[in-house]
Amino acid sequence: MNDVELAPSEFVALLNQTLEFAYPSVIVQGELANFRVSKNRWVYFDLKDELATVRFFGSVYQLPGPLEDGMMVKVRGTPRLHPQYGFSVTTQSITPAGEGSIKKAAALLEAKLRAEGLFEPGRKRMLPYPPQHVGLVTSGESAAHRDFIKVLHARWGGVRITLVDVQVQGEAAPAQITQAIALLNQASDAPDVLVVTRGGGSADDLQAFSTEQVTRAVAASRIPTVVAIGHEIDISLAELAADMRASTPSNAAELLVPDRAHELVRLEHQKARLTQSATAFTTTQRQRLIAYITRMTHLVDASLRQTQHNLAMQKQLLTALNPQAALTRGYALVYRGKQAIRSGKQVNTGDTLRVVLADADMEVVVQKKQMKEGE
Amino acid sequence: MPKSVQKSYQDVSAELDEVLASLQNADVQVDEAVKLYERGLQLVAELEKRITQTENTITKLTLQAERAKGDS
Repeated sequence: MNDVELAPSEFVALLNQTLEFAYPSVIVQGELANFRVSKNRWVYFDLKDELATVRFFGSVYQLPGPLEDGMMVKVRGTPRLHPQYGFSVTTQSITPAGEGSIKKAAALLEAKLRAEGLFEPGRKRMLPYPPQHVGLVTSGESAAHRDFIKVLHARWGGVRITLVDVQVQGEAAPAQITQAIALLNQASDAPDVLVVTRGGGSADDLQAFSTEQVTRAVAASRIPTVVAIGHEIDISLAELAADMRASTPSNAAELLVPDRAHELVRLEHQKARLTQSATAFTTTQRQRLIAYITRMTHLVDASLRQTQHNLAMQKQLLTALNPQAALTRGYALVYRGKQAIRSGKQVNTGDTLRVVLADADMEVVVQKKQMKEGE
Repeated sequence: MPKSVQKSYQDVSAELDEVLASLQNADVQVDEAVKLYERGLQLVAELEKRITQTENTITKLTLQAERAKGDS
């Protein structure tokens, strides 16, 4: 083979054949440099370290999110010699590598999605409280699943749960979680709330929940969604897009349903308050009635006193007008027979008359009569 | 005027006022005055009786109300 002469195109074809056989797939990790996007479709970049630089070529559909020069990325790809443009690695997948780059990538994606309004507080919806049917997206074998179910049932009964068992980490996780959310949204017997959850883990383990795909799926869910990722320091993007976030799977269950023991205590308090209100009401009414009675009594008393006063006045007047009173003062009544005498004209000399004094009744004879002048 | 068993306090009091007015009339005859005076005394006695009855009724009702208060 050493002596074979080849045309350039033959050499390219031979080399590519050899490379494909020897390296069907390679993984290269390095610092991103000269990153650029062409026509919104093609991606060109280099990966480098202190000694070497390797060119890469791919499409925007393989990007995990926005990338920047200087980030550490891990690229899976196929090495190829291009007939015109020379050597490059055709990428199959790109993922941020190393904690710094993962954070950086997440920050860039977060800024992009935030600008689109996915995390707006105005988008958050109220959850049904308590829900009747929960769509649970998590790993069926996980502690997260067990904890969520345990706490939910301990607090509240009768909640139906539909589990969609997914991988919550690894390369397949984002697609599975996204599909699960879509599946539950499309179900004819759809849940009234979704819970997407997993326990704690390293930044790498939790990466699925900060991917653009999962974050968009959570934001797009027609069913209100809770995202609960255990014990992390940084909040995942899916949590930011969720209608409600919880710190752990158990916390999600706590937020989702009331605690029946606590509810019973609350009911007792309400009952006591109700009784108290009712008692307060009757007490107030009784006090008002007593006030009425007191006022009425006063009015009746006043009226009675006025009546008594009036009668006393009448009585005093009557006493003053007692004809007998005049007699005690020295006046006398003069009668002839039953007729009272009021004028000398009624009397002749020699008449027998009856004179009534205060303390005596006499018969007298008129001996002389003299009319007063002018009469 | 409806047929009533007893004249009202007001009516009796009004009659007493009439008696007093008649007694104050200068033209009233002595015999008449005595009759009016007697009538006046009757009316006063009647009114005093009525007031006493009313007082008793009020006292009774007030006691009932007090007892009702005590029950609360």
